[in-house]
Amino acid sequence: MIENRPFLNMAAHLVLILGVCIVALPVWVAFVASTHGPTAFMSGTIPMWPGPDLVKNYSQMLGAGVSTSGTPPVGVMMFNSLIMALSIAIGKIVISVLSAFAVVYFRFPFRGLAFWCIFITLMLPVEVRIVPTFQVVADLGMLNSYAGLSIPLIASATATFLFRQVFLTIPDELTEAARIDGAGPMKFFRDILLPLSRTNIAALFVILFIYGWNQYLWPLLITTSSDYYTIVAGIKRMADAVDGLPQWHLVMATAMLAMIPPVIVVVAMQRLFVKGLVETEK
Amino acid sequence: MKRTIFSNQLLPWLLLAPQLIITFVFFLWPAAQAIRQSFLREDAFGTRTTFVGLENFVRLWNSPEYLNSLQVTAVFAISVTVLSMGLSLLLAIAVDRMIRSTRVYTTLLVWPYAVAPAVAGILWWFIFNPTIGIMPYLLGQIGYDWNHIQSKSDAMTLVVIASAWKQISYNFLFFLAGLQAIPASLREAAAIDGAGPVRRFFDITFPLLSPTTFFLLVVNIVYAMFDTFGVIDATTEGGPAQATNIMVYKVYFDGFVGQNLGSSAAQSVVLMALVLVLTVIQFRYVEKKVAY
Amino acid sequence: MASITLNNVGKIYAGGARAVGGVNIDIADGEFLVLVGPSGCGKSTLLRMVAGLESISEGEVRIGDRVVNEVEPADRDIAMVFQNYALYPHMSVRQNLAYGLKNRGTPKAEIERRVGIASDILQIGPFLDRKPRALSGGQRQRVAMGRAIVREPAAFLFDEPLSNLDAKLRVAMRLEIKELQKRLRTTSIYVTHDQLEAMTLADRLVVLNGGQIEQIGTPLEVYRRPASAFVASFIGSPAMNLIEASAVPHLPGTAHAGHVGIRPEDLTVTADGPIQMTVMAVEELGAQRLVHGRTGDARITITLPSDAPLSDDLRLSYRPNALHLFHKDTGKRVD
Repeated sequence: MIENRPFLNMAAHLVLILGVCIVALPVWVAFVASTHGPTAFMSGTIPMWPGPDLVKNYSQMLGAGVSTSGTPPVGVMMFNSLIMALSIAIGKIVISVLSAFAVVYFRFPFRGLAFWCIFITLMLPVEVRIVPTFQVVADLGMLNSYAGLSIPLIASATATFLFRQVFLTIPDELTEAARIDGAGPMKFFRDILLPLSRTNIAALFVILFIYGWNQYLWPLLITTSSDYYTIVAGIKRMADAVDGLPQWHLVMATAMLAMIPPVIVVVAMQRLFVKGLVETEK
Repeated sequence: MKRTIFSNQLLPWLLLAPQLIITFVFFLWPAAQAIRQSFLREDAFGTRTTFVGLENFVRLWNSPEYLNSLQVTAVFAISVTVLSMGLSLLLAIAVDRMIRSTRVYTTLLVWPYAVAPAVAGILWWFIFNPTIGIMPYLLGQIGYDWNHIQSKSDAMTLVVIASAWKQISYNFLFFLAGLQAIPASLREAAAIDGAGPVRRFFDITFPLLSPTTFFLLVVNIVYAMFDTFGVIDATTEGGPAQATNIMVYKVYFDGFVGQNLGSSAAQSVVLMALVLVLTVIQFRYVEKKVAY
Repeated sequence: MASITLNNVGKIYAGGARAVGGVNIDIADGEFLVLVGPSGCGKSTLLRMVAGLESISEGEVRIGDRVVNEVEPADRDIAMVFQNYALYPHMSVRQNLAYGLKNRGTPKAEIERRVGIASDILQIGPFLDRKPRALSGGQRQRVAMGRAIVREPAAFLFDEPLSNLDAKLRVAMRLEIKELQKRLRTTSIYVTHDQLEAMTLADRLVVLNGGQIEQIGTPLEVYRRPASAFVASFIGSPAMNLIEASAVPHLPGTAHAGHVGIRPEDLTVTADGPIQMTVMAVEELGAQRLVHGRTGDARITITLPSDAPLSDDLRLSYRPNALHLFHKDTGKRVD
């Protein structure tokens, strides 16, 4: 800020408060809805202030679910989401950090080709090749399994590039010192490279956890058994299945529960989250 | 390039193996299948497949539904991009003026990034629900009869708002970073040269922000085209009357619900070509051309 | 402890460019050898070949009795101190020192003993549990040397270890390295581009230029009898005056001489000296001053005590045996 203009400062605050309200509006409405009983929606419009049934609604969803919807209790779906998000995040990090190590620290025939194979995955988002990929997973008998939920999504050009970038900034002298100190490639990887990439790994983990948790199309397709429903994919089934009169208070409670874990991750680890976002786009 | 390398020949392949195997099995092979399938046609019973050359593509080109989908996608992507980037830029400029409250406002604005597109869709669907939603009620007060289940434009508005809402945090963070990277001395120099706040924004800030803006333009178009499947599926399912049937949704719908594999594969190939172009643009031009 | 022998060593890069050629050096056990030359002269490449960080294209390198051309760096029984120290940033000083020993399976008690000795010698005991980024430049430099000492290697290899330090610290650390090396009597090869550092540290120094050895000798030999015009201009500060031989009349036996050299301190001011010098600038150094000027078309510099009288025109004389003559084609010394 250069000169002091109280009017502009006021305007900026106003814009921001309005912005924060708009951004928060849908979540507030959902939260309010999730605290009322089923009859609150009969009057025609949704109430704007929280009702008395918060504990009742949430404990019902977590424990029992809505029997008519064919979805399991939300607790089970959240557990599935957690497994999927963790497998995707950890899987992507592990295979990417290994490939980046191979590409940066070794010279071997067809290195360029290997690099291009990884690069090309950038251009093939799952939405684009959804039918044949589903076919492959079905042929491998991976439908309705945690492996089927996560493994097809863990190849990652972005993460590989990120680690490649990180490794390239690590001074050569460090590698040379380690060689003179008698560290072979895997020892160097474990003792030097991994510890030095710690914050990058953490930042990437935050982004990938959210990515994994928020998957929708993929779990929707490959889970037909309700045992493997994830919460983000399950919520739609719930809203659909309660035909005629959706039980809005319960659907919204589920929506809140689907948001809470990733939102907590973003807010609690804001610095890592921002670092991860910026780095993965480089 | 590293000066120091290890000389092992087998080890790098072992390290690459997991990534390469997954890439091959779940990316390259399916993509090749899509390309192959796009030149084939199955008969009605799925018993015989014949090679039909480019016929699937020709049919797409002559299909009013597909052309409609292209148009819908373009309108949708541009609307989402403009709405989300416009709002985010405004918010970022406001936060950039702040000294002490930057962090608080940032925290209050970034969390929607964590909300899944499908959940964002559900939330806005609820708000715009014609019978009990709050927005139709408010719009009714000023005489507008909202109904996204019947009105094409209402449906498009709904999916645009839901998709743009989710993307605000992302754009905001990058705009804010871009603004904070502009040296204060430049704006101070302009102020000494007699430029007021508005002039400074258009003469100094906005031009220097152009690399960020262009980068976000590409990212937002990619987001709107490929990552909004959840929003569409949770709200309009492409309707009413194809009004929100964007390309990614149509690929899925024709392939899984319609079981029209040849057409779906041809659509996949078109989409791959689009991603290819967008990726090339991102890598070629984002870094160099619009930078100062 | 060991001698090191370089036998006709050369380096040719993959593209065919030659970095070093025909280098023969015998380094005695316990000797402090300095490789000095301008940047790009191949001195670092040579050191890295001894370390095993660069492959050896020609000739052989022996450490002790063993040809080490194909031996891994870790197995050459050497330790290296890098220009940027190359301390592992995520490990404490203690872990940095111990890492190489641990990798060799040295028993814990022995590691502790050696780390203790090294930290006593270098006075880094108080910092043992700190991370490198919490240390000053000089302390990091000490830790880098500590990492070399604990290994008790046959040879120390130093790659411009002082060039990241400020001038004052550089002088202090230079002396420390020298004392340390005398105390441990470990064969050392030290690379620098700084001729003063080379002069002060070396038992013998090797002047390199364009990948070739220009001269090997003790600092005083090299200073007093530079083997070529290049060495003459590179070693010594202020640099030797080099004047085209044709500009100097009445020179004895100079048929092949291209340049005549004379050190600034070998020119003295006398009332009837044969050389006339027009003074152009004076730099005060405290105890003495540098006087720059010209004689004919040639620029020359002389050093004078700071209390010597100055005038715009000086007459200079010299002892005939203070002249150095260099061949007009090869630049080599002509005697």
